[in-house]
Amino acid sequence: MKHILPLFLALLMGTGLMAQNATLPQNITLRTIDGQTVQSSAIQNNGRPVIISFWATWCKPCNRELNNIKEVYEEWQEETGVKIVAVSIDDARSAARVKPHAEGNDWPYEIYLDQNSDLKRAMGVVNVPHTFILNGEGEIVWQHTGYQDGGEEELIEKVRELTQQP
Amino acid sequence: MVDNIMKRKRIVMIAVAACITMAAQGQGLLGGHVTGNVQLDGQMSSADSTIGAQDVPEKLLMNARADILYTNGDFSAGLRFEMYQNPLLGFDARYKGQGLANYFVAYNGERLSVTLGNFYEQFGSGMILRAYEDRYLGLDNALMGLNVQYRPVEGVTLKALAGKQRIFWDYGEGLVRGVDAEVNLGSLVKAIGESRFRATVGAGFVSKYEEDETVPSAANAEMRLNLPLNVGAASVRADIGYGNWSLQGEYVRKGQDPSAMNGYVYHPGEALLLGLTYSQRGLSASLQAKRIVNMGFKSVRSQSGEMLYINYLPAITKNHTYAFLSMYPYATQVNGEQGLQGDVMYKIKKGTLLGGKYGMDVHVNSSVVVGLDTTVTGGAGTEGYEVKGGLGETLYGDVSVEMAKKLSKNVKATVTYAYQVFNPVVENEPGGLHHNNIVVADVSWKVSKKHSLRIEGEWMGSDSHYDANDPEHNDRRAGDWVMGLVEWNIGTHWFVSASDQWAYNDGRGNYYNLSVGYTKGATRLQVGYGKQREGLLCIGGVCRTVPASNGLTFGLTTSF
Amino acid sequence: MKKIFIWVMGVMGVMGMGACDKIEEGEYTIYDGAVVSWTEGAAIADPVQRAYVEKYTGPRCSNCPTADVTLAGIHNDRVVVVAINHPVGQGMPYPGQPDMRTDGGTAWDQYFGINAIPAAYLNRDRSVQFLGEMGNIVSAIDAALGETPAVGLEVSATQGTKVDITVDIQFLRTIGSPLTLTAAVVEDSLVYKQLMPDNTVDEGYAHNHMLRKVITGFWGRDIEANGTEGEAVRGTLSFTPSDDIKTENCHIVVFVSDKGTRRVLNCASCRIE
Repeated sequence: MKHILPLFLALLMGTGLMAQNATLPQNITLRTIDGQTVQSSAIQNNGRPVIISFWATWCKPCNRELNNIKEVYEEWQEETGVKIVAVSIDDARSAARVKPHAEGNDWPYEIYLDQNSDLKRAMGVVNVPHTFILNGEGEIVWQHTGYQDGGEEELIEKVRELTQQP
Repeated sequence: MVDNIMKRKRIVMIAVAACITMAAQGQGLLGGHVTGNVQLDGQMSSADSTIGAQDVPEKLLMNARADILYTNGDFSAGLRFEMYQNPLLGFDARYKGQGLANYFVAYNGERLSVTLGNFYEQFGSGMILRAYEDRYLGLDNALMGLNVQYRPVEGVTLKALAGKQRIFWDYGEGLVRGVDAEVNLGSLVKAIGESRFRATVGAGFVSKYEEDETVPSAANAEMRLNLPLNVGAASVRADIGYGNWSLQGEYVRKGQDPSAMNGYVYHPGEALLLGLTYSQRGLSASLQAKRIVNMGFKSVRSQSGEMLYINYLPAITKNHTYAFLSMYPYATQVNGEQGLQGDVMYKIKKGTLLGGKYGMDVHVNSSVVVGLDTTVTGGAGTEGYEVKGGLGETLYGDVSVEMAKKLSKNVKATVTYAYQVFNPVVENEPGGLHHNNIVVADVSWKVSKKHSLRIEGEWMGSDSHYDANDPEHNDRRAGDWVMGLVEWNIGTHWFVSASDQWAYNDGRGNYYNLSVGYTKGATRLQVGYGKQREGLLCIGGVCRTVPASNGLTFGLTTSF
Repeated sequence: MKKIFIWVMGVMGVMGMGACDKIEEGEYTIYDGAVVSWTEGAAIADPVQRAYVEKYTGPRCSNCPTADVTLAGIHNDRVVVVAINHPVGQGMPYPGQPDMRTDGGTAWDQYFGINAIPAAYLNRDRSVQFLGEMGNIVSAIDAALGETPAVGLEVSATQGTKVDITVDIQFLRTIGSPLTLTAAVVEDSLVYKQLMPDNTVDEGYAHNHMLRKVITGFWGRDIEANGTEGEAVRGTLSFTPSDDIKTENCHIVVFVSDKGTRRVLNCASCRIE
């Protein structure tokens, strides 16, 4: 029993060092807001960066984040070509409200439903909101949990770093 | 016995962990990458008679877990370590202990996915099968077995699975088997794909096998029940859209399933979930209807409580987030309920009288849930009851109006009014209906580029009252309440918040809370001190009772 | 891969279709009793024919102790006795005395239509009821013991957290009709008031072979076997004795009977080890 903990810590340290080149999990089944199934590999942006934001209709900070980004999204796209993919973790209780919620809020994002949290689990997300930045190769280069007003500045700064690299 | 099994499992899993570590270390040779997360929650609580908090003899309670996922191309393997020494207040004492709670290997190809070990899965909306986990509720009904998913052509998904469900540190005896098929007609039929019409249809079947056991009949103790060893549940569903409209429906039926949940009656189960939505830019409306008859479906018939559910029955009420709006949460009544929910979101345009400079969001939601209209015909070992078409007693109802408006470039305000009717019967408590009026004002102010403030005030007026000595009225939520909260965000990393809830009419103690949090990247640390009200913590219509506590809490999460 | 998957789906589909039991209304309940699980058994060495005596008695029945004397005189390891207190009248306990009536015993009593005690049946042969002093039961038992056994039957029982019972059955000739196995627990040396032939009440009377519980359900469990000559099956079952049963004073009694006529073909008993 007592041997497990050190072993685990060693394992965690080992894994922590290798968090660099994790990629977007492929072949996880998601749903579009029109109810069709797609594989997670559909999340891509022709070699340009992608922001994946895990959210839920009932999550206030998530909604603040996505609403605040909406106001600057056009500028972001012109500047960096970034695409935002908003993955809802709403389960059957509120899944039917994802589409009206997104359209009611006039969100210009690509939206997927992850009703049983399969992608959320595969990407190691604990709480929403949780945001990832993927580079053009689909590698996870940055992630952030929670949202505080102004958090979007840090987000776009990281995207700029990616696009300004030679 | 169980301990020994778990010990043996642990040894095997240490070997697997070591293999994963080695594979990960040697990624130059093997490739692949490792992701995961770690979470640690601790609690210190001392007795406080004013709120009913008990002393914690072990001083410090702690829950911890780590999920580790190794991925290499189409292959992945994962494991989860959990520790409850001792479980936080409100978590089942049977979680006490530590070890590997979840492990699997999986192949996820373009057409075929196979998982061996622990897995999560959902058929349709989950009303016949949903293996899922909610760490905050202490729920995990992961299946241990085999899960196969096959997508022969674009738009067709077939699933098959078999396994046993996790219960704390063991697996339930019942064997769960299921098949499911889903077809997106738009992908198969070109004419549909090119039209404005969208349609996805699906069907599933789940069967549970459990050995016979002796359950006495209610009418005659020397008679035992002739139990069905195999219990089946089937589902048909469709998701149809045309232009801005969409219609979703699922109908499920369950065979005879006498169980501790339903008092061992033989009435078959059924449930219907219907939803109609309309949406366009800036306006959306939805209407949902639900009816459940005896749909509690567990892999072990003698289980009561929240573990070992095979299916998931979503609550039809809105998932409110403000403290007083969610003070009386509604939990799905798996033995029977019927309800309606309507929801309208509208954006009042900029430049109009109400919209002002920035526009205004209006969100109206209302739901009502009533029981079934039944005639009881007997107890354990009978059909149990007859269901008629009428309405049973009122279980829950609410209407809420939320208006959100940006007042200036840096100030945003949200005002919510709600009226709520709550029947304590849904928590198996006596006392009759509570009627509550709730007002919430929530203002966020971006003070400067680095600082922002959020101020929240809430009031709840109720026709219920609190009396510690009257079992009909000893619900500590009863009475009139006020609450204030200030949250100060410093940069994007720090926040400090202070709040207080106070039942001002009967002099009950203040429930104050102070907390400080720090976030950097995917790591978040939070420390809080204060008093926590006893009550139900609910997510998705599933609830767990949390006892009152008084003291320090801390939490750390990180993802990598 | 594709073929394997289709095969898996097919098997699970077929399993699924059959995997829903429908129980007809009116069959929701069955008699309480332990479930017997059946496996292949081993041949029984030296099978013997035993005699099963079911005796209906009662604490307020003055002739019953006389019947006890008769049965005690012939009781040996080839005669298995089960004593049942009549549910009404002379079978009722004295005030403040332990009530040894059981639901199983009452069901049997009613089935045989017992209206006077003492009464007894040998091998549940309904054509002959032994009454009173039961003098002629001795010769009847002798005759029954002289028959060639149709089934061999042995029983053993061990006490753990519950009592585990193992029953071995061998068909010594082919039997076409379905058979059932009944198991019961009987207790000796139960001391409570008994009306004696001289109309005094003996407060220290020791009652033996008293039925305490029918373990299998009142009419037993079906024996899962083809019934062909030489076939051997083993049945295992268990039960948890209630706290008022002293297992050290108990015997486990088992008998094999015809499901239709309920006539007993053979019986056996053992102590709980």
